[in-house]
Amino acid sequence: MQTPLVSVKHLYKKYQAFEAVTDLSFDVFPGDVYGFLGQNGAGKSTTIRMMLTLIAPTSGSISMFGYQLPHHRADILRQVGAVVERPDVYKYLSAYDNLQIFARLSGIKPTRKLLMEQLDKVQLADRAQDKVKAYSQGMKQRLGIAIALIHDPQLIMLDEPTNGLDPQGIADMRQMIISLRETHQKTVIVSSHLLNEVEQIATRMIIIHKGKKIIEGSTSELFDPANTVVLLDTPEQDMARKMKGSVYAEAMQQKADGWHFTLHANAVPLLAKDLIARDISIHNLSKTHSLENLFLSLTAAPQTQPA
Amino acid sequence: MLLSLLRIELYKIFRKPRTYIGFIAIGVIVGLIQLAMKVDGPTWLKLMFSGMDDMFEIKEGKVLNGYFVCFLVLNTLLIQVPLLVALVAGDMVAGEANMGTLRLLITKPVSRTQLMFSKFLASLVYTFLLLVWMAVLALFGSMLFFGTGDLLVNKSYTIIQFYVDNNGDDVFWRYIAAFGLAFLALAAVSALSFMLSVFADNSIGPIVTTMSIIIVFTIISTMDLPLFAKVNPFLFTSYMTSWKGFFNMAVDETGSAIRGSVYSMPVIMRAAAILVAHIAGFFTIATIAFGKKDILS
Repeated sequence: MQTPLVSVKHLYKKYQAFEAVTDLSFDVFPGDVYGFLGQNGAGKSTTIRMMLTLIAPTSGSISMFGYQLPHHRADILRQVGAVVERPDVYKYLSAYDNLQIFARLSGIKPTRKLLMEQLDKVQLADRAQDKVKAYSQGMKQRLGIAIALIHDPQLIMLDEPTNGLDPQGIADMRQMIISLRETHQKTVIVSSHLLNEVEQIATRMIIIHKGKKIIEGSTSELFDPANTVVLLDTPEQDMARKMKGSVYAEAMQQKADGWHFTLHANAVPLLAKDLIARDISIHNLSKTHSLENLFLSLTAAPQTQPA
Repeated sequence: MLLSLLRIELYKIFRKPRTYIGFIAIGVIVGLIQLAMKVDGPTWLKLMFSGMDDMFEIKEGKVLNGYFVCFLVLNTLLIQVPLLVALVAGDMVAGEANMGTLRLLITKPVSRTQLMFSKFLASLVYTFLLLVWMAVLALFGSMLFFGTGDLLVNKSYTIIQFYVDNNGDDVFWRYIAAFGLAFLALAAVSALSFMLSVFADNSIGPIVTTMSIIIVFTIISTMDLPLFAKVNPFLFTSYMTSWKGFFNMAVDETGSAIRGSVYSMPVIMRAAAILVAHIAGFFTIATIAFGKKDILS
């Protein structure tokens, strides 16, 4: 079995009476783009901050590259690049100066060539000497990425990397994360509150809610077509009788927003035909996925605790 | 690594416009005092020494010299300089928290203790440079504009005269020593502000709190009440003007001042030791607190 690059075991973080993270365990393997998914305040940032030693866990253990935190903090962080929430840098300095400072703090002595190459990779070379206070959010985000990658880390942690970006910026970020894995063989942990965003880039993912793990697995497993959900909006009062004898009868379930049929994606057209054949009025028929439904139900849940 | 971190911290300090407020303020104040002394010095001196004419023959041309102007500047300015020191020291950690850069700093393979050392050393270097700047303008600048001569200091209705004559200069070394002790006093302010900076997420709080503490402690230090007398020896503000001790001469058994002496060196050494203890104490608290701090900014 493959050795995990990151192993988090029974992690807890309590702020007085509020439990931000509760008994959280997961593994990240080399080459993963690991999606960390949850609504705002679910505990994603808290977990990432604990992995980066920004905050101390109440209990539990975190190991990376075979080293244990916090004892081998420097050994671990030398191999990690991160952007936590906003990509804040020194606004009164230029991108070049910022990159140079953080490269030195990462333990390397950068040459001008290396710095300019790195800025070129994030399309900031022509603005290298401009002060960051004049940068757009997207440019700051790109500079944050350049800083995270300047020391060629094995593991990259990106906390909500698409926040504040325009659609083109989001697409570029998505492409960059995929390229980090496919071209540069990096391991990436990316947090987000958007399922479709994570779905497009992650090889494995975890969903957490109120600090607890809800589900974890490979993206292909979690988005298994066999777990497709069809939502039927119908005025029919006697669905049970009308669906009697249908192969889909056992797959249907009444919920607040209508009837849910859990089936394989390939069976959706057949279900539609069956419903019409049974003379069931259809106001709306929409295809979704059980994971999406699960995530939406979490997202819709009222938040009672602060982030 | 520490040297590299120190360089980075100094680079950040001296690329910030607010860093130069202190240098500009000192330049303006010293320049104004020197100008005023050039224009109105003789009149002002007459007023200052009025009533003592029967004890001393005061030759204006000799008394109004660079050493005298420097003494005047130090008396005036060393009260305000703590604010300038706090402006930078109070920003060292809290400013980074406010900007959000503290997050990025902590994710780098540098220990929090190393980070605190480098930041504190950088704030001390700034304090030192501020004093050097003050010395250049107030001492050397005044020596250049007004020349040198005997220094007359009015202390508790007594005039003490420090000679500059054929036997040598008994003043210059006193200024160097005074600046050294003044550095320790300002370093204590810097350490206090730095410590408060660890507990805040923006720099205004530590700066205002530092100044408030100095004001309150100074009031306690100057009020002659038995209750306060018990705590005074433990307050660093009681030693903010200890540098003046270098401008007090010892006397021999005949009552004559001993040239080149200091009246009470043990008192000065004790002041220096207490200031160093405060600096170490504030820094230790800051480092321990920062080591345990959750970075939530």
